[in-house]
Amino acid sequence: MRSPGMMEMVRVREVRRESSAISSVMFSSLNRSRWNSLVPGQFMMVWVPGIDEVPMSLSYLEEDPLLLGITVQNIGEATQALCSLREGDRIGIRGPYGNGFTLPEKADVDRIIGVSGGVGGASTILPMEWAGRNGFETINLVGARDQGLMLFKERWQRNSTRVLFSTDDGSFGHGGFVTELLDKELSALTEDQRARTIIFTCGPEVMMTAVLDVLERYGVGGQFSLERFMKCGLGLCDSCSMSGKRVCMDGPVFSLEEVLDLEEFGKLHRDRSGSLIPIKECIR
Amino acid sequence: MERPDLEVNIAGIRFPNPLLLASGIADETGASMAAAVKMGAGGVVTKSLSLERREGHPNPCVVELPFGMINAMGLPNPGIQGYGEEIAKFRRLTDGRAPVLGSVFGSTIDEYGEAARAVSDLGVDAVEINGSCPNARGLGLQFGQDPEVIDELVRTVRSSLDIPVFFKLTPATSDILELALAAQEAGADGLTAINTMPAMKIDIRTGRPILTNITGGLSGPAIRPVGVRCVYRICSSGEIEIPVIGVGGISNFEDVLEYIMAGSSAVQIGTCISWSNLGVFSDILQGITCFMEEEGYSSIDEIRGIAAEVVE
Repeated sequence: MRSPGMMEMVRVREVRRESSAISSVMFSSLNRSRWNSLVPGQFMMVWVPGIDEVPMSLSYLEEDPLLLGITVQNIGEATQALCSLREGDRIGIRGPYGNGFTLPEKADVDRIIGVSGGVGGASTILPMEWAGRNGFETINLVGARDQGLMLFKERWQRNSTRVLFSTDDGSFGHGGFVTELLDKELSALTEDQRARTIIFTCGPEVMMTAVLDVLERYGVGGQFSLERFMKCGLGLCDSCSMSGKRVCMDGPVFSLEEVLDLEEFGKLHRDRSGSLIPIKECIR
Repeated sequence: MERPDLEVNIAGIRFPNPLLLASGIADETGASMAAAVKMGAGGVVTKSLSLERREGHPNPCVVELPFGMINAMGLPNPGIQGYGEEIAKFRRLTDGRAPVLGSVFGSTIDEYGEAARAVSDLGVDAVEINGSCPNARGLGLQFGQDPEVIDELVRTVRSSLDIPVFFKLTPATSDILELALAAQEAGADGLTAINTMPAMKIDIRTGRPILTNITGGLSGPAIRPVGVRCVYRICSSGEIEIPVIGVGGISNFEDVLEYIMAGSSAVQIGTCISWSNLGVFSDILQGITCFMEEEGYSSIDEIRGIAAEVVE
């Protein structure tokens, strides 16, 4: 029996304002062993007592002293509660759960391109920094609706081989979609270089659908971090079910080949009752 | 020596092996249930379904503990009509290899009856009455603790169906045999024992119960000895003739054999999937087969209930 993801109550150390509507909640943990085996891209279930419990990627993992963080866009009751936490408040943390991103073999791949959209950057930043520390060339393509929603500007610049930004309204970086940057990057590579490149991506599902199209066009592989409504986070309740896969346990990171088999990708998700409903997205 | 035969026949339904996916576990969709069959499950039970869709309780819905977990999902489901396509998909993907039991609940006895008919119309092989869910006020447990109510509930469901009816029993009772007898007298074709145990967890830092529903149902290894004893109590009584499906805390082949030796004809597997994933089905099948070969058993029937025989 694996060690259970028992809930640890932690105190909020600091709330960092990342952009106009995005904050990072920083906390420490006494349960060090829980973090030693963490794979970047895994998620936690985060409990705000009396409000809700939601799945969140870890976006900060600083050692000595141990400081962890999750990054939240204020879009609903739970995220609003997370954004309005103050130093000293208590939250409950369980996990980490799921699979995380997988670093490829150095013999096969030289370059990892991160494609991040909006608050999806909270799920790609640790994996991309990890890839860089492991000797891969890391190119980060970071998109947001506008400059005010752009996440981790300095951190991307500091920890990438190269970084390009895009905003839908042109207020910062390339004016247009981040997938246009991806198309340009891949078109500039030779066939051989493309074969030694993979993509890590997280963002709104419409964006990732466009990423999938670009990758298929160039024959480049990728890993996609997906999101669905979750209750247990443990692979039991199946509320995050997606074409027979459980996002919490079989994911949240799926390979391009797996994503192609997920008929619901980009189209449908499940509400709290488990009913299938069309994806409506306003954040890109 | 021939390979041991793992097939079991329960209430006239043939299962290729005695391992079923428990209700409420990885069964939101036909594809997820089919994934369990692909990994070796001999049958599946759907999540508990009601006539109307339900969202269940707000999170947190689960608490992990050292020897199990407490859940209070609150019976979320898309409603029986919304689930029809999932049964059809399960059939398509499994090609009829494994039976499916439809789990149902309601807020009145009549609703249980209607729900059972509706789920039967979806083409399930049997109905499992969830008369013992501890997690939703007015749904489940208050039906399952009173022999008189069980009598009326099972009669109502039984009279309107022509497929087998299983009744799922709660361990939260002074004598589970009385409840089992009531269900048998009322015409149940089989029993499932046990449901989760009512339980709770308080966070000492805030003094707050962690589950939004305050209480939930305990499952996992912590309740296995309770489940084994309940099955033994029912099956060794000499008063129960209908088959029993054992469930509660199974995580390996030894646990399955314990339940079968206590008298159950098959078992259901749930909580351990959170750490063993669906591969637990193939692992257990392999373990049981090796055990039977080593000990010289040729069928599950030969093992069933031997604990009571040994004691005699």
